[in-house]
Amino acid sequence: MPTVEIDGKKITVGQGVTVLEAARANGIEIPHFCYHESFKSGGLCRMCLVEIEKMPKLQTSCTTVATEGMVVKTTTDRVKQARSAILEFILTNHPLDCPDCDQAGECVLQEYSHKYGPDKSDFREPKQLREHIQLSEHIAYDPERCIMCERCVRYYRDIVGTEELAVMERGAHSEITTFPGRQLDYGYIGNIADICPVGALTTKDFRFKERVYNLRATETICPLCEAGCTIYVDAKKYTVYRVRSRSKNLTSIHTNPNRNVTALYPKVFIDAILRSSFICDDGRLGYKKALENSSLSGPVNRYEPENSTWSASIALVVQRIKQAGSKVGGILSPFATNEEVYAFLYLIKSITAHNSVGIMQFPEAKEFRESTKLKLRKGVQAPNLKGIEQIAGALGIKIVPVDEVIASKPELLYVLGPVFDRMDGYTEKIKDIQCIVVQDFKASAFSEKAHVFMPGLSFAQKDGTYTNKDGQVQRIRIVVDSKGNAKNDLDILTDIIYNISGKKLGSFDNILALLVKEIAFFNNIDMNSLTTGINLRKAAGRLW
Amino acid sequence: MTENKKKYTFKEAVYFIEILRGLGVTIKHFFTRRKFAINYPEEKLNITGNTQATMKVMDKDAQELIDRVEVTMNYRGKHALLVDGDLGRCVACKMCETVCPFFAIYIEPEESPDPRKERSPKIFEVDLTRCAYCGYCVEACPENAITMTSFYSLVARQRPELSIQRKELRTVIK
Ligand code: SF4
Ligand code: SF4
Ligand code: SF4
Ligand code: SF4
Ligand code: FES
Repeated sequence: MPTVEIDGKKITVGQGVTVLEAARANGIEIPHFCYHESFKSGGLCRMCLVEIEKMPKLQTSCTTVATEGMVVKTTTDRVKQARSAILEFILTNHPLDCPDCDQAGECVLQEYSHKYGPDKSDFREPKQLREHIQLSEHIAYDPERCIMCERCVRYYRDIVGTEELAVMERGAHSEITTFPGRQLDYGYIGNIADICPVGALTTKDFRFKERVYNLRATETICPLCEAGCTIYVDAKKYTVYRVRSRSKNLTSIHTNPNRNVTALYPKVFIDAILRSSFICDDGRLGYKKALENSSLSGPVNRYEPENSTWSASIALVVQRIKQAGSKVGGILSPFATNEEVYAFLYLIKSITAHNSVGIMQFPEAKEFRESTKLKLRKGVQAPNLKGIEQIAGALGIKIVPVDEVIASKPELLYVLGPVFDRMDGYTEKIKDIQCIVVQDFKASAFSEKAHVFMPGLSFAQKDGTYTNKDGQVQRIRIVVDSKGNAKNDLDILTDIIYNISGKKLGSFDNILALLVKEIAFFNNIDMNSLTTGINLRKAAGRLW
Repeated sequence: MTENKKKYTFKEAVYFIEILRGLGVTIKHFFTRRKFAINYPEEKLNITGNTQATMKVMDKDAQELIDRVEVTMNYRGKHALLVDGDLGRCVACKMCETVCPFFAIYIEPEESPDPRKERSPKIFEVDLTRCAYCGYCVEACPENAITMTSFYSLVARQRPELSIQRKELRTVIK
């Protein structure tokens, strides 16, 4: 393994690691625009120039592979001057109207201009003015702000593989467009707004909605399919403004000693990199579906509408469950967290005799287009099917289709949501059930039929863990506070359990600890990484 | 401790003469009767006129603003959002909202319906009961869109009346 010296620091790296990656992994910042950790370097922007001993000219560190005995300097006057000149060149036609630009606050160009840029420009010519273009219905492109780093082009070429984007025209007139007759289809298009280092590409969903520096980013997990991509949810007060991908720390991959020059990106690395840097458009744009807490004013008690308080509703449910005894049927949504599933199954198991639970069917999470190389989506369009299977299996509870639960004619049907439209088909079949209890974060056609409706929280309002298709247990977090009179689903369940059997299950942490203690599948969760945010399951044998 | 007594002149020592001089000033004003109090609200103070002399022209807009919108450089009254012809200057960048120490400004941006600029405010609201008239918003504005006028007479029956919207703030200058 080669050892290089960067700014006087001796660094040992794997074969084929570039100088830029080696520096980054060791906390030395080399400014760059076109290099992105997820695909091959292009050497286009020349912002990453460094001085390497015995080489007469400055070298682009993103394409120079670190070799034994290399001495690299990143802070000499020559390097500084080169950076400043590159920035001056990039800014010749750049409007620099940051207040008008959506990227301001998270813009790489803005940051580098402050840090390394010249304070004046020698260009006297007026700047070119160009209109923004709608690249697709979801993405707007502003040629004025584009710095021609070609990250977006390379993303479509190397990662998605469908090669729709290209640079047209030359010099100051160049701009990014789709090839004639081609268009950017829904699927993985939103990622280009994330990887664009400047404000040239913006999603329509977020364009001009809010300044990024007003938003608070929370690390959580996308709930819209079983892949369980890691995301940031940016929110302010009660409103979620956008979802973007959250890279896991890739330095360990890039500097992995097993990496070698001949196969710069072996399959495992590619897999690992992709899954951590990109998300699909359903996750990015469709999050609203899993969010809205549609002005729920509190529990609805159809027996005594005037007495719709939390304590009355819970007391009623408790009394009804006790009455029904073994004739309680349970239906579970795969949107429920591991902890809720455990509490719910505990409730079913400790009172009912038939030891089975119905699971709502969610549609399969298909790829949007067959032609894409990037395939992130997995399983069904719900996050926690695997978790339910594991917990139910360990508790000895059988998983059955919803029909079977309803056909068994329970006296009381307890449905733990989110239901969405998944139960709409059953509104007729449940007519003879005496008592239907629904717990959900928003009202649906099915919940209209419920005798007791208890408003819960959406995935962005509660703590919990999901288990994805690969068996990774990942943490979701409170992103926004809940409005109105809704209650945490887990608290509702534990309240009911306490009132029936006197058993205190405790809060999220306690139940997670119970899961870890009692169920073999959860035994080797890395509790530490669950709290720090990189949500890994040690035993899964993944790279991170 | 040494005594450090000031030596008084004769005139100072006989302080009576100085008292007469002071009385003289009072008596002079009593007879010349220059008026300082203004019988508000029957009479109104013309702030623009008063401050013309001390004003400094700070940019090309200043004179224009002073002529048309009663803007003064050293009096900060109710805000105005400037409009060039038919195009509002404000781009809803939220700089003023961000800088305002009293959270008096609330802005909701939108994609501008006018192709000449990209964004414009859908809602622009200044809560004058919260505003401390510090003028930070005027300094922060990159488009010279918000300014403060010499309009000081803020009277309302209810608080919400003093939370003013874009339409009321809008001021055409050209
Ligand atoms: S792309 Fe960056 S530097 Fe350019 S206007 Fe936008 S925020 Fe400013
Ligand atoms: S649009 Fe953005 S990502 Fe694409 S070339 Fe321009 S600056 Fe780079
Ligand atoms: S004058 Fe000061 S307090 Fe009033 S709106 Fe402007 S920044 Fe806020
Ligand atoms: S008034 Fe000025 S600072 Fe405030 S949003 Fe409009 S352009 Fe920005
Ligand atoms: S980052 Fe190396 S040339 Fe762009």
